[in-house]
Amino acid sequence: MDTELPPTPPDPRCAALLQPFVPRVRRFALRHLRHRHAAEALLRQVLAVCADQWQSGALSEPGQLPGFVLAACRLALVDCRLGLLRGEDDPLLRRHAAWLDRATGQRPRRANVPDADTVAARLQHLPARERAVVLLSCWDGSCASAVGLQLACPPQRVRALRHQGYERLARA
Amino acid sequence: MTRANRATGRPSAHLDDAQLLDWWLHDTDRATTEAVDAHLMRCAACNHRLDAMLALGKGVRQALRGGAVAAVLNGAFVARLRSQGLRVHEVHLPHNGSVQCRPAPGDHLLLARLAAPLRDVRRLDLEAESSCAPGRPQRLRDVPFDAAAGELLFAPDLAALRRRPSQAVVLRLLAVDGKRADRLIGRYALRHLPWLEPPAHHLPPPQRHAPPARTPPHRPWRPRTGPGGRPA
Repeated sequence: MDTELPPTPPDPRCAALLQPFVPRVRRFALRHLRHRHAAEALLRQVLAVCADQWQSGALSEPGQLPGFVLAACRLALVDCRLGLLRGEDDPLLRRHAAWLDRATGQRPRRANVPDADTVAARLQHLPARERAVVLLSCWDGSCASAVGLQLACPPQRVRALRHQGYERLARA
Repeated sequence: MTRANRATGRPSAHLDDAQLLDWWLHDTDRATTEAVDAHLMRCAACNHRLDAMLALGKGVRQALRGGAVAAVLNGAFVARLRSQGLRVHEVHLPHNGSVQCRPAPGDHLLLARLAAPLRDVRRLDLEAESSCAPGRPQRLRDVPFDAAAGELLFAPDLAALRRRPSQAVVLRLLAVDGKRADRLIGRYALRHLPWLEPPAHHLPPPQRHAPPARTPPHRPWRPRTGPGGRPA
């Protein structure tokens, strides 16, 4: 029978080193999974694995972290696609639960972007085709070929219109 | 694509916005995706720019959800909007026809379906002229359209329409050919009326708690038995 280890928060240095990776891993997961809850589950697994490795001494150099986190992300992605992602009742996640809640609960400050009214005003200045491409791409993250099918437009042209549209929206 | 400097572990160059956007929207091949994954795990500056782009996308979604964007859409996209919970107030305008519309406060989008013969049209412009600003039409140039569909789906700026008490919007579809003058394909009138609260006697009666349904008392299942205790 497995004996469960008591909750052991990672040492403050490890926690501080892993904190910048929280939004990066979350973004990685959202990009690959397109599902908020699955992305959070992947994030918790990756952080728990990394903290565990740090505590065991297998990982000691901060310079190793980006590569290790990325590898952990890729493995967790495979696990997620196979339905093998660790659940909340997993001993590893339970051991780090309190720290994981703290680390993933801190939302980074939002990037300085215009509010919805300003974005709407800028959208009105985009040419019709660019506007349609930006709307279709932004709404549910459709790729260029999916948008192109809807607008009867080749994907390369959609990409060009999308880049122009985003650039104008950001710059205007 | 950038490569990490092995000595310092830092990326040698940053990704540009187009690469970030392509990566986020799954328009990169496998090798590029892996390289961008690796770069973003190391580079704070590119993460910050990606954050700004994603926040901009969120602003676009909010603007669309608030009906604050005039745009030409397509049927598949409108169906997706509906399936994701947006309320679309749809009006059908026959060719050269007019219609009154009164979108409800809870509607997110007003969608005008303009029936039009679009075969043999190579480029289409849409002109919208409000009765509140006569003589100052707004022109959407080179709108995307499906010639075989025989209609154009136009979502006017509902937020702007709501700011006025009532107005008529004249829509003109123009076929554009560089060699000849613009050809009028159709002319439509969309009369927007403000929402009025229905009179009290039109409102449905307040819902009361329904009495509990009368169900027969529960009787545990027992095998039927005939005389003498034998199964029937």
